[in-house]
Amino acid sequence: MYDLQRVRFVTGQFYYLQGLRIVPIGLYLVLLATGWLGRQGDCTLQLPALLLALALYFVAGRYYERRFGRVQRQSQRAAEALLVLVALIVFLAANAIDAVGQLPVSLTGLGMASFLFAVYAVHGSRYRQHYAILGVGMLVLSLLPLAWKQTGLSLDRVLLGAFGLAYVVGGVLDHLLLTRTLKPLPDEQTHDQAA
Amino acid sequence: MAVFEEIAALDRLIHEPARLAILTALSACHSADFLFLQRLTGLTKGNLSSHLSKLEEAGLVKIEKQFVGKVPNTQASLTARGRAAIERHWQRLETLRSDAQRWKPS
Repeated sequence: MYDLQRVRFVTGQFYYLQGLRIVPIGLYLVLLATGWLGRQGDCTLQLPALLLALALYFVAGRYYERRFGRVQRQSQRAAEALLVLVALIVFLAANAIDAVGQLPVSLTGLGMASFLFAVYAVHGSRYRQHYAILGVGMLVLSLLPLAWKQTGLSLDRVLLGAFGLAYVVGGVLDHLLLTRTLKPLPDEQTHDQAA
Repeated sequence: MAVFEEIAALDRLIHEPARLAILTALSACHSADFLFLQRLTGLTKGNLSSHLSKLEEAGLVKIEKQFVGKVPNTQASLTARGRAAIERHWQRLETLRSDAQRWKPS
């Protein structure tokens, strides 16, 4: 029997469940936060690493297309582009306010948490609850900037690393959701059973 | 209409499990290709082709064959009639479910 709710969800969200696309971007953010790619603004390693992460985004897309096929989404790209633009402006504004003021909470972190909650609310449902959990983790980090300062760690780096890690974990779990829902091709199944 | 009469009135072309899965999937997107539908349903190529042909003959699904690069690609999408039919079918199933929950033997 088919789980028709799952069938509907996976087809509608096929593009967003291609989790391996965002894993390199998440890793890039983690490496940036740990300082392994050099100091802030040092482009020697940061720019090639970013380009590599973006290239791998498209390579992963090709992998999904070859392995699982193609689904054309219902047209909502203009609304999505607008949402990304608004999120980017809010993020930059929050970052600028954080840099100037000594607020008891981190607006940048709250912005990142809101983004993860938005992913859960818009493209989530019960199948992608991990984004709500990751959002809660990010929210807790944003509410404790003073505690982070006492440890001597840079709050910006902690938030960036946590957000990158959330991307990696979310991406892997999305990928697993997709691979567990889509069945092996009948001839692959026969091959596996024979082996 | 009584619950049992409603069950009898369900469209068998749509209600067959594999075809219901195909139509449900297509109702969540603009179009999907043959490989994706095969992965989703776990059907063999022959079985999936047969189901898609039946749905196409009934005017519920539109099949388009194209080339992506040099590779042939078959895309399936719902027609307006198909979209209305699957929505109606789901509404009928929902009604049946709530009627069955309320139903008591007299």
